[in-house]
Amino acid sequence: MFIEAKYPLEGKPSPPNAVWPHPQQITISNDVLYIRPHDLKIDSNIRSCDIIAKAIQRYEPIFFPPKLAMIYHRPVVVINDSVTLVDSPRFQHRGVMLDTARHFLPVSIIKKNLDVMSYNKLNVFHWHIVDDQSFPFQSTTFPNLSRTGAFTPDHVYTPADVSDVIEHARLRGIRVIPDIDTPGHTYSWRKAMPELITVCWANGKPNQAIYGVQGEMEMFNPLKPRVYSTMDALLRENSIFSNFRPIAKVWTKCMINVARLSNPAITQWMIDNNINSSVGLHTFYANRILNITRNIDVTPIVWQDVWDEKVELPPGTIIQVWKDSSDNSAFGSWAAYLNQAANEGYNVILSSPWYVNYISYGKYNTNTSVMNLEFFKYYEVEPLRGFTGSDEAKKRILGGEACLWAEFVDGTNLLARLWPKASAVAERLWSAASVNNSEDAQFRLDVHRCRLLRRGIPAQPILNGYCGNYEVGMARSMVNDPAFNYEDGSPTESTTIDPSAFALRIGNSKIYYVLYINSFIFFVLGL
Amino acid sequence: MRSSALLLVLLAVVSHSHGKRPRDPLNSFYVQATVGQPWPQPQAIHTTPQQYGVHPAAFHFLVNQTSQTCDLLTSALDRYYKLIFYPYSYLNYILDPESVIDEIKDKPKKTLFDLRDTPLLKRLNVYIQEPCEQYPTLESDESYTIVVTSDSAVLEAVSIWGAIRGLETFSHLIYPDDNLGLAINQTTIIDFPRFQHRGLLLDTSRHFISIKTLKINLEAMSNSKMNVFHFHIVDDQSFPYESRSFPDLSGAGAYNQDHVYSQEDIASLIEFARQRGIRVVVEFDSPGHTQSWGRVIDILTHCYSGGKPNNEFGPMDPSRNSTFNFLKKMFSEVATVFPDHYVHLGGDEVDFDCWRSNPDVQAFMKQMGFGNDYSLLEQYYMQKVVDIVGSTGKGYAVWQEIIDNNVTVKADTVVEVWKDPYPDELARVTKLGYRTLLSTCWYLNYISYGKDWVNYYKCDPHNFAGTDAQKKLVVGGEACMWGEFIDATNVITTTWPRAATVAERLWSAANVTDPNAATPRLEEHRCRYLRRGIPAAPVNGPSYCDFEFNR
Repeated sequence: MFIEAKYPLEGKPSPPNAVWPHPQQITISNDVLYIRPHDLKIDSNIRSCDIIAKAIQRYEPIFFPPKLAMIYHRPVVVINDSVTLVDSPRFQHRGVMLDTARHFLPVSIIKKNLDVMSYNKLNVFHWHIVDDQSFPFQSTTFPNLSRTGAFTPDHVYTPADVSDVIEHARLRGIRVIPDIDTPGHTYSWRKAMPELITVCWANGKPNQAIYGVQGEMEMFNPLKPRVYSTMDALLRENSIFSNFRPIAKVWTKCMINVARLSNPAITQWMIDNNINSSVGLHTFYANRILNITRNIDVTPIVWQDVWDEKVELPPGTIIQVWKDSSDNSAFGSWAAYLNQAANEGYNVILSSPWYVNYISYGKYNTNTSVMNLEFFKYYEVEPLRGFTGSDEAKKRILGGEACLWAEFVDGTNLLARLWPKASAVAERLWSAASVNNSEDAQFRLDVHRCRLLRRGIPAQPILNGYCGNYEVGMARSMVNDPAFNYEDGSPTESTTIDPSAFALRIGNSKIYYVLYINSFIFFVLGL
Repeated sequence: MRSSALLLVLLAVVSHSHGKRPRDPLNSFYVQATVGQPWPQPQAIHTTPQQYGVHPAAFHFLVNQTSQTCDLLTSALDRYYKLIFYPYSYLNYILDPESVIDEIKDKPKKTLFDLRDTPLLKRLNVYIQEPCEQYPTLESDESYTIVVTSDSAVLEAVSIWGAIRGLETFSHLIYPDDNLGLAINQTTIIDFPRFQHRGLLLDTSRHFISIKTLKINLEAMSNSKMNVFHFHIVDDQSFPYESRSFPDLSGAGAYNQDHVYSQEDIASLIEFARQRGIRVVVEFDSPGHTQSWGRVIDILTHCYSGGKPNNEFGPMDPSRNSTFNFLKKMFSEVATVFPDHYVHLGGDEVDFDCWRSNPDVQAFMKQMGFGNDYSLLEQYYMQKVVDIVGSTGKGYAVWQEIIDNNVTVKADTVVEVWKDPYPDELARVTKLGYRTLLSTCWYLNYISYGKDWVNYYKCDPHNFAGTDAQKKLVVGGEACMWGEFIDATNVITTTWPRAATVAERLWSAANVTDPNAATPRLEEHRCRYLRRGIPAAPVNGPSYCDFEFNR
């Protein structure tokens, strides 16, 4: 509940049951019904779908929280007498990227984060699973990678952990896309596979680190055939994920700085093959990796660098636009990028304006109030701003991702730092373009943030005020309640229950056209 | 490609470890923690590679027969024993002394049989010179020495507070070790704080913070030897303090009746702080920042527009005697509830518009001969308030505006500087002869991306042009965590370990200033917080801790 005596905010206060993200169509009557737990039956007419069955189970403690009586002072929830809802997403790809290499994220936190994603109808978990700093992914083909590349033997994702995460996501309608970043960001591979990594030279000597210029060894060496056989095997293993994403990066000075005599073998090879720039070397590598994907049933997603360097991409390749993520509000050029790439026939997803790891303080403006700049900044992005192509090209703009790089994030602060900021991105990607009044939306988001707290998510505040009696540390807090938490190393059990078609009727409320299991979430109201 | 561009080339920080934990010296992509190094850095520390094992079945604290002792010492020894040997259960234990130790998770990594050929540290002898004070004060002595040699160690302190600081350091010296389970090195420490007042402000009005979370924060403070909790308890937005004399204040001014601090809550918080040598300095800010006070009790100025009251309220109304009668009762209650000598009276950011609009205030201005100068009215108000509080026997701390506005205050007043440029402000306030606190450069709520603690670390309260006498008047500083975007979801992770860098600036010697040298120690300190159950966030870029936070 927003409280600000002195400097009231612009915008329309929100009812306590405002839906987030805002549906395409919603009509709500003013009368309310009181519902006791035994009055409500949720059923489905599809008998063979475990996703629905599990969702019904899962939403029970959400409709009727474990400490409900204490929360509401009486054991009921309230719903508007008549609700009609027609809903569908504006964009197909609505993602969150987490980085588990700069800091390790325990599986319990990853699963809890998938829960919050589903409360916001986000449907892609982009898992940046390895990087220079560590290799926590335990490969079945190459177990030495994590054995030597993880921070410690405790800081790994076993195959069981990975299936657990994928199953948890599947039950929430979320795709998991692994991100095995190459040719750069591969320092953590070096102990298991030193021959893959380029040795950096200086002053005629190998293994020379120069502060701020090069490490002693870094990046894949594109001349080594084993690079490609390894990637082939690893990508086949990873096709258990929904897609994959080789990430290309411009070669550093370590490899091509002739003046410093860095790696002479590569320099010589480039001369021999008439390749005279880093771009040429990069193209050589990217082509070979993309060729691998042609033989495996996966769709490659590449960071935009690959396209920048004019590498020929297989049909269906998705380009992720990340550049121009400066912290000021001049997001001019990503729009041009989307425009051009979509018009040239590529699928694109946007993340430039949504690097949510770049935190900043809400500016104190004494004329209005404390504004939550972070929310405004992420919410006021319009992916199709300045788009000029055909309708067909427009469809190639698949959506976007909020990226939380983990230099300063781990299990201690992930949930509070990401939520409800990523909810702003979620509404932008789900709701109609016309839902764009951030002054109003901040009130709805404040309500949504309290909803997340009720579901045990420690989402941080966006406005002054309070959230009822279930805040963190209070006796009725859900944040540590077993209903909303997971133990590390105890997987989500799969189910064989198969109820069928699905209808949700509460009093006179008719809910039509439930496209998405997460549409359930709206009906617990805070009083 | 992304935020990591700078971090890829992080310094290859050489670990200052004296323990035996193997690390990869070539890996320069993440920060490596020290092993067994205290935070904040002691004034003098000497260690050798000689290691001793430490085992719960073979170690005990011993109070020297000639030492002073008291309940504070007994409970501190009990606490530190659990902190050292049962870190997993420790936080639950201090929040709820009835809770049980998790024998499985806290099981020693080595048995005594494993350690049969290892020299063990068997006891820490504690010796305190002077009888215990009941509460810490601005003048308390916190110095101590620790000597760890052979199978016994000695901790000596002038006061109980020094002994508590020394126990904290002792707990930092003990580190997890692959071969010994827990180990400590031969060490000599002579230590004392550079500044007396090492504070942290939390704001419980913009958002409520539960007593439990406040206690976790006090524990985190004592882990970094901070000794003043500045409790900004009420403000415009809410009034969670449940007053004995005026229960309506929180009755109408709290967010709801679960978002209040009862007298019992306050007492338990003060006791929790006292056991850690932490003073609780409460702030009742006035005349501005008081909207939440006036919902039932008519003490605020009625604002006018077009010659009529417009139902809006301004600062406290100084034109009415009833305002001061109320404040007399209120502050005499505060004086009995909060034992510290100091009460913080606020006095910042007074808005004159409403005073200007009110005909009674205008008439009062005329009567007093203030003309049109409303700062004289502010001065009049604050003068009355400081006199009221002074008459209760208390001293007071104030934000710098009071002094900027020429209010006459008692000689022992502590003035808190929060404006920029702070070197000028410090020079000006100390020149007037007041004890001074710095907080300008330590507004931790202003978050930004990256290793922002380096800025806090570089800010020095003696960085101003002044005489030695002026420098001596600077009694310390405070890290401030204002609550606009902070509540119990993020207060601990946003405050810690960033506030610990302020703690080191205020405790350690003036020449301990190199952030690169501090980084690996800070990294160890963060992991130490995690091991003790406190979710301190990563602040140094990529890294890991043996115990990651997964709750």
